Amino acid sequence: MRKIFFISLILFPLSIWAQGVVFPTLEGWKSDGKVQVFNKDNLYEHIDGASEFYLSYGFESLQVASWERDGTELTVEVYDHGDALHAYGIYSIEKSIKAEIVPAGLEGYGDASTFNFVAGNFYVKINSTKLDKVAGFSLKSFAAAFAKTLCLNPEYPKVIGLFPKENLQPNTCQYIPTEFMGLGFLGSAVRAKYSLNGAEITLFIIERADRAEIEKMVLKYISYAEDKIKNPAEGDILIKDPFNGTVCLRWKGNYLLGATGFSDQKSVASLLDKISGKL
Amino acid sequence: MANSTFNRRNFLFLGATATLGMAAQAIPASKEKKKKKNKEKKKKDIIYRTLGNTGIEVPIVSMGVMRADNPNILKAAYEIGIRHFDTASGYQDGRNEEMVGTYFKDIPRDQVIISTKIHPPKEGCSTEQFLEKFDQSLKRLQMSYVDILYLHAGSDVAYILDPRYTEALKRVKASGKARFIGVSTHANMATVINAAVDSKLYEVILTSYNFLMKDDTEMQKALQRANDAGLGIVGMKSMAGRYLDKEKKKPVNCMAALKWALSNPLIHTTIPGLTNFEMLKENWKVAQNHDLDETEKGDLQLAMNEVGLYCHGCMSCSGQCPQDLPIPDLMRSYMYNYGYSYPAKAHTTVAKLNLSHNPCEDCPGCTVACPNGFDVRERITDIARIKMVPANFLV
Repeated sequence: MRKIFFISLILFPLSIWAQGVVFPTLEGWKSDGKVQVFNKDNLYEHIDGASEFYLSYGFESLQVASWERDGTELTVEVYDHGDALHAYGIYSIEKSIKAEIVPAGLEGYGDASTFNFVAGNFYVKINSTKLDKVAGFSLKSFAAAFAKTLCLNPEYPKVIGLFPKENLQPNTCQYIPTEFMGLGFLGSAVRAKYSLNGAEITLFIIERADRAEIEKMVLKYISYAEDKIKNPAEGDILIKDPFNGTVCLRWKGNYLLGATGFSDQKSVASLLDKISGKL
Repeated sequence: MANSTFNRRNFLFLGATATLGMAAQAIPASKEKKKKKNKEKKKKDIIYRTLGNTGIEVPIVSMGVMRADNPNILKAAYEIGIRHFDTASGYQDGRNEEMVGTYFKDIPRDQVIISTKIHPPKEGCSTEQFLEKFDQSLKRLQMSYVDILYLHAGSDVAYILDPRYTEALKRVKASGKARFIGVSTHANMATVINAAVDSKLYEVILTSYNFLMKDDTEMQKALQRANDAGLGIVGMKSMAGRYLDKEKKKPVNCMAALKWALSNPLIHTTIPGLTNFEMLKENWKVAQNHDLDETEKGDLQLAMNEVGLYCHGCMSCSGQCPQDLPIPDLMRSYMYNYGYSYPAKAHTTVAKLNLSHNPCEDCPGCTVACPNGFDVRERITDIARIKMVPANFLV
């Protein structure tokens, strides 16, 4: 066993290549060529307490490279979250609802000194200081070009496409990896906010491998809410959640859709119809 | 949650059933200061402690908001009686502060104790840049002030006494944008706490503190010093990572771990990260009674007996080796390599020791006894070989 561990030390740098990240050479910028690599066990050394949150989004590794030019520093952090849904998830949860989305990878946003984007399995954060002193350098262009080296044709996770576009509040589509709505038995879900008749409604989609998992979830939710519904069937179920308010569920096969924050159940039903029609 | 899945059988092979004796200063919950909550709330007695000279009185269980993504958990925590909420500018890139701000904007400001943290970038920043970051935090929190502003993640003295940051903290306090200033630490804690006391600047310490530190006398002394100097002391990472092994098959009894931390009266409150309602309810029970029952004591004792990867730096091994090998440094290197998967750091540490690649080869047997049960010879033999690997192969 010891031998195996020891050999792994020597092979470790090769995994950098396996992860498919090749940092570019930037003309006019100096770099020492070193790439810092962090994993699940030492991510906290780079981002301290925030690491727990990244770990909950399937974090696998982080590679950090830096450049310098005339006193301006540029740092690129590439977080590998294992799959496109988790990468989109951590990106979506850190994105401000006021962000102006631009094309870079799947999508990105930024300001004069920072730029974040998601591309495939990767969530990328670019930071700079005094960038205004570097003529002709555009963070956005750099990000867009770098994104292509990470993932040529990134696509939104399929479940994101199920949300109707009408009345959708920008930048509110988010993936929650565990304990959705603070309820352990719900596990992961994707949610989005809608403005409808003056109310802010949250719609969510939970997808599982099979119908039995959803059935178990529904039964647990009914039990948790101490509701008296017996033998729930597929279709709409109204839950009086003690913490999250009234929740309208729609069970369809291996999907559980839902809505919170509504006052008019008919409007919610029509929104849910739009999702379930695509399933 | 982890404690509900805790399986004592995971630890039976260890065979230890000794009771705990580590919380020497523990005082029973029945003798703690309790308050009846406001009449509109449930009629439960909650234990309160005061954060040193700040005079802030809070329940012993507070809330680390970091991983919560649902404002309804904040709402439930507030309604159940939690009054201190801890966030940071870096959590979710500021979105965590936004969530805290969105929920608490409708709650009277003097009804909650809000803390946040600013972490200057690795390359450092100016006083003005620090202040700008903090102003952004206030904006996200929708507040004109926070109760406690921490310099985030202090692990060495130079960092926490950096004049750029201390000046910023002084200005923040003078402006009234933070009622009190503090420093958070989860590495080299005793040194940081002592330096914070000596600085006469910091008023609150946020520190890692858990049952794995039971033999850390330096930490206990530092906490006592901070307490005597009137600093508020907030505990974090009370559950020691929730698991004892890399495979996450050996969960910590989280309730017992939280109780253990709070059985030390020097810890004024703790900020467990609450992410679901079940966890909230369970943790809140500890605010009423932190006394460990016999099962919980047994669970923690068994967990403490687990031989993990982490050297606690107790220095018990010093002077035991006939070759006078620097065992703590070698054990730390082993931890860097296998615990943190950080071979470059292990290589650097071993290289500095100037040892042969097999420093134990001339010894017929090992006489070093580690109180944590490490097989010292085996670990040294394993890790010392790392110096044979070219440094540029390692990351």
